[in-house]
Amino acid sequence: MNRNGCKLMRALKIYLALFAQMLKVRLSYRGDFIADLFATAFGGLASLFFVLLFFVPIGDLAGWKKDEILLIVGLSMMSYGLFATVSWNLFEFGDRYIIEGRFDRVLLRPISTWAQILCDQFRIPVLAETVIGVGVVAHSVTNLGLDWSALEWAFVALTVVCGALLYVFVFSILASASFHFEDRVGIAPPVFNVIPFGRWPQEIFPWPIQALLRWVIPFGFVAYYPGTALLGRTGLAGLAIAAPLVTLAFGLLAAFCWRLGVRKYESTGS
Amino acid sequence: MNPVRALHLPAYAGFFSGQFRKMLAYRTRYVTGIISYLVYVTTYYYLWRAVFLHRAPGAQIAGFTLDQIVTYVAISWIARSAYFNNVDRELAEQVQNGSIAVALSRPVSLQGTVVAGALGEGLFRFCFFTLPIGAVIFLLFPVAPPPSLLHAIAFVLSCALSQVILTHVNFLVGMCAFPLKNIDGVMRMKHYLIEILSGLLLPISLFPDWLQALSSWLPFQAIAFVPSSIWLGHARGGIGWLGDDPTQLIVHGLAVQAAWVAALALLCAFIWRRAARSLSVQGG
Repeated sequence: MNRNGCKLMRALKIYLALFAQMLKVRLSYRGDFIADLFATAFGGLASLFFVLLFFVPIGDLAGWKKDEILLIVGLSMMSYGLFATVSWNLFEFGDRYIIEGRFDRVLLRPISTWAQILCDQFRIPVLAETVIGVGVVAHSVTNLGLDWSALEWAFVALTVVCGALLYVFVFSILASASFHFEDRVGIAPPVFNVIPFGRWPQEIFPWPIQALLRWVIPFGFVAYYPGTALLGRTGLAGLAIAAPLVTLAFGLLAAFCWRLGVRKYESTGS
Repeated sequence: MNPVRALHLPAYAGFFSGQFRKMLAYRTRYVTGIISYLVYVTTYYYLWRAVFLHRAPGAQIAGFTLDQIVTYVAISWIARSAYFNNVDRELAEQVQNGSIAVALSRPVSLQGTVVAGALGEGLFRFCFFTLPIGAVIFLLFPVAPPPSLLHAIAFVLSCALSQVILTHVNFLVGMCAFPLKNIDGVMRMKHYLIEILSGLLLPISLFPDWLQALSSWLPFQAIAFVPSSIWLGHARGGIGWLGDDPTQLIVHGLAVQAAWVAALALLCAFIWRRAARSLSVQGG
């Protein structure tokens, strides 16, 4: 094996050891684990319940049937659940790592700081949201009488992974802003609140909001554009193909922002 | 409660102004908070516009026209910007780090200080959140004014009562920290529960009958549905006892809120007394 290969293997070993250690820590608080599981399931079912409640008096939404909307909501829930496994540290990055000075320790380890931040508070219970999402998608596919082949399901898997990564990249970019502005809360909360925007048919929004959700905070690509393609709807379905490319572009941007931030980092000196 | 204790008003005023000044310290949270509320109202505004798109002008859904439902949604979020608080989180932190013991050594009641603090935070939120958020939302969206000055005054009073009700609900959630230690899960569940059952996301009038019936027995509807209905001057198609007459609605709405304040205050006092008796703080 050449030297680069050795280095990679070594890094991988360290990752695995750190990850296993962190999982042990998380699993040792069984009460927290169960509470997180319950709350996640409850939250997922609550947002689903809201969509169902909303459709009771209205019938359909601008030409969209309830099950069509549910398909998109389900896709988005699957992505969100995957993202939520690593989201804690991104939301609390400024507070936990910059202000409280934990980032010094991260810098000492010979592996990527970004990967460490993502993995350091890995949550398993939040995958409940992904599980609920799978159920929702399966249910609406049956209800809509869609006859999907393996190809469509593979596209669903790709969509869900890209969507989760897109969330990770967007919130990594926002977290990296904490290197430049010290603040406990950060600028992620309003962007977090934009997530539900991406779950509704984009054409109901005026063009500035559509453009925002397509190119600036690209949550439209998480579930809506791929969903329209899966449902065989005309119009913006073509944008579904762009979803992996947008994810890649935001990945590069996030890596760049992170690097820029780390270079800027000065310890609190504590 | 001992009446002499309850009259330590200057002491409570200290908690009121203390919380007010604490809020001033967070600038980013302030700006991002305002943007968040704009995002909420914008989403639901376009959602409801889409719902009414293919319907005849003036069409109604469960007694709401488009203008009314837009007003309802906007007012509900504007009101929330004033009554929202994190009493549960703050209490849980005090239980976890043991500083709750200080509350026992004070000559004033914990419940009183928490409510006074929440009202102080409420005044801050009203001046610096609700007014600018309200101004922006009124400029951007077609929000109808209340039917009369009386309704406007009753609405403000009703929001203050919402604040007290939510504070007590949060107080109860915070008390869960005694048996549970970590109440993050409970707080999240409460958050989802209140979002839906208070009528914040959807007027209770639009719920299916069974859920309307259930809601009428819970305190949550007194948090959002009552003040917003007072502003609108109607709770049509909704819970019968709220009344259809605009003036009667005010009386009924405020009475329901006052009853919940009393019931929850008693419940909180009872639970706190029990919790305090079993309290053991290590190290001290």
